[in-house]
Amino acid sequence: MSVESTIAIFLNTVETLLPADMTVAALVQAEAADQPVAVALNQQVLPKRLWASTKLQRQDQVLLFQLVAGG
Amino acid sequence: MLQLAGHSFSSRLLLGSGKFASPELMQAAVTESGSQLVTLALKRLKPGEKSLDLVAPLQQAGVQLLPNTSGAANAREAVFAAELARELLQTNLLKLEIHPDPRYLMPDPEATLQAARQLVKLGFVVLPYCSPDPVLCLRLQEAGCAAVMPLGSAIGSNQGLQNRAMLEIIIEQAKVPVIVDAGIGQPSHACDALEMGASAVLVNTAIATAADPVRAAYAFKLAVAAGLAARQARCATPLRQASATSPVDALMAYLR
Amino acid sequence: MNQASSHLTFSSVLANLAQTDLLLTPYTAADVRRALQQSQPGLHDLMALLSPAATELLPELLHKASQLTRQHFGAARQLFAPLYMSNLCANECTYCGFSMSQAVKRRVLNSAELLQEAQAVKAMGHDQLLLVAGEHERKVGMAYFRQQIPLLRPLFSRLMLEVQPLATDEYRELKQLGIDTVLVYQETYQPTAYQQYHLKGKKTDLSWRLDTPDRLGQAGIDKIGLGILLGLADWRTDALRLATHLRYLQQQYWHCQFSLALPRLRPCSGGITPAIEISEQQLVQLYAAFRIFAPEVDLTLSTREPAQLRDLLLPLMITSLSAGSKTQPGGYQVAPQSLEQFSIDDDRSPAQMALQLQKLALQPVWTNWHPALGR
Repeated sequence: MSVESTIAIFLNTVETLLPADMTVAALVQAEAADQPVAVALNQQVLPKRLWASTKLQRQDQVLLFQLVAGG
Repeated sequence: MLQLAGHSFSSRLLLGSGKFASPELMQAAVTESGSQLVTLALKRLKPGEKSLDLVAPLQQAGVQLLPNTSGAANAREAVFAAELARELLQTNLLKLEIHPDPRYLMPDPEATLQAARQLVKLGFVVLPYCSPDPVLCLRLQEAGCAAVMPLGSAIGSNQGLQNRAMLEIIIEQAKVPVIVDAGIGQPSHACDALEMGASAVLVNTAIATAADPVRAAYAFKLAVAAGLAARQARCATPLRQASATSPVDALMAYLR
Repeated sequence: MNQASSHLTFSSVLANLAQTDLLLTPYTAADVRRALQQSQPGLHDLMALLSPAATELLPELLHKASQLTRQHFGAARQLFAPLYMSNLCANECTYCGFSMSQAVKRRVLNSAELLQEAQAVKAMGHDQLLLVAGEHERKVGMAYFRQQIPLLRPLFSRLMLEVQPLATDEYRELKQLGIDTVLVYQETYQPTAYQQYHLKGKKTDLSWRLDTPDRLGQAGIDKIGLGILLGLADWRTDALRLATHLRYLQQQYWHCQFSLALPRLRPCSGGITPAIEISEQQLVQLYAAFRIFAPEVDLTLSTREPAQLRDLLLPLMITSLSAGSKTQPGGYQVAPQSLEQFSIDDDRSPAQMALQLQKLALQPVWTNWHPALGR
């Protein structure tokens, strides 16, 4: 694969290689399938309605959160 | 009815969802308790690990989910967690919890007040967990919190209502519901809190770690109902001995 | 600031209050005993303590009141003096010697006279001053207060005010000038009775007066004095409304302190005889009930009451008192022969009162808080 067609992002602080024009929605689908998650992109919460239209950039920091039992 | 920013709840027993042996047991306990408000926490997803959906079964049971910011060590983290939680659950209800001390899990008053102010501005219905400090509770109310949640004793300690005098003052001065949270170890503690005038209690460890959590949930349900009924019946509070003083005799003699 | 207080004032609360059940319940001895046991008495308990059943149990009320007073106040008793700045009044109140239609020589003390009066009060030992005036917006209004208060501020550790109801901004300004306590007695909370006694002037506006404590709370005034004039109307009803008012204010303005006064209508020139006679026993029951209902609130008994009664109530319930009072402008020095607002019964000097307090094993307190410590 050429360098331009993959990018490195940090997914839950782990460096991960992804296709260059991957959207957040696609990433969530790949990582979390049908589970409810919330996404933070570069320390900002990214609302679900923007997932499909947001393309990931080089060095982006993505955090995926879920609800668990607690508190 | 427990009124929280437009929502009405007939149950005065809130449940924490943590520490149960299994999700099924947690759900059974929730059902048995009659609780209508259950807290959930946020965690980062482990990539590749399929986690259980807790949300759907609880919502199907008619329970209102209450996300909390447990894990946040400062106001910024708490606000961040709140926004994530709102994304996930599409609710403005939020239990605000900031305990930077990992040993005793005592809530940080400064960070909590700071976060509460920000979160109220962002449209959250804030239920702050805090120390039983009367003036702190008044400040949280001034900031626009929908309730205050003073602790009974340290999280998980099961020590009951260690600061009764403070809780009494908080309850007397409160204009919002007072929900005693943390340290409620036995149903009698929960009953006591309601008798004292608290609007509700939140119980987690005592039910989740009981030998029979479902039975424990039942006991707490009854205890909370008993405490509320006692309050409504205006049962007498303990008599304090009055000491005899001759000035009283002198005044009575004058009036005759 | 509390978001509720910008919308809500007590007049809107009172408009929706009937409290018929509280007023008509035939309270029994059991109700009274229950009230005595409550750690946080409510209005139901107050009414039980004011009932005829409680009159039969008065010694028990007095024991409880005495215990609570000692717990909250110890032996300390606050001393202060009233200083009448003016008897000019634009109201017509049938029970008052300063009423507009009364042919009395009107006097507004100027700065020099005020200072003379103040020095006379200071010479008696007083350090806490209550500035009183008839209600005259134009001649004794903010312009007058702005001029006079700064002259008096350095002379006393505490300045209190009892004048016409003012606006919130005016109270904020007065706070800056050094007033930390404002007294505004509703006289009666019952609208029909209120209208019968207040015939002319701004005081006819019941709601404006009634909402004054709200404005005081919003302005951040430290201490608010409430009161009813016993003899104007049914005293149990007024006591209930007063207690309701107090609870409301304690909830809305949690940073405020409160004091209560329950003066009885006394003879005054041209004045009326009371519609309702309040006996000393009923007065004592009222004070005891309020002490039990609100243990942390200051209770004042004026010099209108006989010395003997004051001495008996001071150890048990009364926590602040005036002494050596003159209720006419210039009464201490400048014009002692002029007409008083009401006649004094206990005319003991402050020194005599201090001695008497010590005999009663009480501690006279002249200074509560020193301004040097900052405010």
